[in-house]
Amino acid sequence: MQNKYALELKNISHRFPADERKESEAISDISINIERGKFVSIVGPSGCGKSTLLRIALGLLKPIKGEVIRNFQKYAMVFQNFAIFPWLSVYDNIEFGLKMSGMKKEHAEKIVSEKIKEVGLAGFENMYPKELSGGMKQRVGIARALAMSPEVLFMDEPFSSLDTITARRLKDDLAHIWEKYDMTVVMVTHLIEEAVELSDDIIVVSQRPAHVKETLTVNLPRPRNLRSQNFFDMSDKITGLIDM
Amino acid sequence: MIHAAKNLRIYHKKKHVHIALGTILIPLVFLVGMITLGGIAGTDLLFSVGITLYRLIISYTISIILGVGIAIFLSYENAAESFIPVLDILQNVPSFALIPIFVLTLGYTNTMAIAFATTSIVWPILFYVLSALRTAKTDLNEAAEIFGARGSKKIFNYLIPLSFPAIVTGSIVGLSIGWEAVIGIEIIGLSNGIGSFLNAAGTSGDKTTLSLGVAAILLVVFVINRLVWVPLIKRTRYYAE
Repeated sequence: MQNKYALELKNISHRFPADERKESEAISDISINIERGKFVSIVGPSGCGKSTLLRIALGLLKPIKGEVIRNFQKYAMVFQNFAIFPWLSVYDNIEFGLKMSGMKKEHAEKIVSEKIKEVGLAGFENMYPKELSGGMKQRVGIARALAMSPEVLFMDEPFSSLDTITARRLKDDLAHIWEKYDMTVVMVTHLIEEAVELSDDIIVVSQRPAHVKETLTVNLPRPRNLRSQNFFDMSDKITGLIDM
Repeated sequence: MIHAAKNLRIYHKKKHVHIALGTILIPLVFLVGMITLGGIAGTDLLFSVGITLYRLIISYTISIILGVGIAIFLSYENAAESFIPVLDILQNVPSFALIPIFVLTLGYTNTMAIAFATTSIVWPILFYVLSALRTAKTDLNEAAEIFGARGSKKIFNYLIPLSFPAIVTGSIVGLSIGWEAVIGIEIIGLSNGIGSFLNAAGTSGDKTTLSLGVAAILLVVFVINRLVWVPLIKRTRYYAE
């Protein structure tokens, strides 16, 4: 039977060397369970250790204490600063993960073409990252991630480097994509409205060293009305928790 | 096969091929004309240039494999911190001071010229690539790993394309030092190559032959620059974000 949780973090603590003599504690005893198929946001002030937590969840960093249980095989990530390869065209960037997995070219081509259309990049296949706007670069990043058919999609502040209008469009697209794909999404953000708009659950973490302050369930109907009283109330509640 | 190989292709259109052929043919016709007018044994000159180029190409090939390979190994193993001071001292040893050691072990031979030139060319390639790998953006490294670039796939699909501008710059600097090294050793102790050709012309006071020898080097350098390095430098513009 499939585990209810896609990801389990148990008593995670982590430290970074601050200078030669001292160490700085980034994360303090965090335990989180991410339910399969849910859109979960980790919200906290800038520099509190959210991205570090995401990297621990992904296995890119080894925590000094605690256990990470990953109940998934396929995963992908969308980065704050896009992290698309500058020497590859839009098409080749999206194809990268599929090529690394050893997928046959014809099969990969079909998937890449599908994702290109899905994220609105048709006609830009042969362009290079330096020729794209920030929003288009992030669309490449999202298409590259979706091409992997991930069970869990990790996103590290995916809209922070974008202007408001571009971010708005991308958020709408992402909400549709998440509903269509039935995947688990773990998003780290410091923008409270963004988290309330997109998430099922919101995990509020404190200032450094990060620890979980509260986990909230967002019981607002989708698509979310960003001007409703309930939306404002939820946003205010989270703001209050972070400021505490 | 390098993943980005098709992106590194430098001649895409017929026009490019025509320009490339013109870049080779026009200087060649000029040189042949000068040789004919000057009454010089053209085969001697062409053979001498050919031998020097051969030594340079072999040295460069060894250098690029060694330089890129060592740089990737050091970045992979995270061992650069301890090795860099050692490599830095080694690269600062004037290469001409090593000539007696090379002569002692290999004599004045073709192998010795190639080995000597390699010790000159390898350093810029190694240090430029190492620097590129060490300063690569963390999120790019993470993206490569998350999307499955591991082991040899990581080398050919991520690390080498990532280092491409550094490889080009290191190669240009390394080859300019390499020319000096090969020609220098040919002047000092070898009986063939363009260095030896120039030395013989200079010693016998044959100014015409000497001038044509120098002109031949300039033309070869010009042709390599136009046909190889300029297009590759243009490719590196894609790396600017």
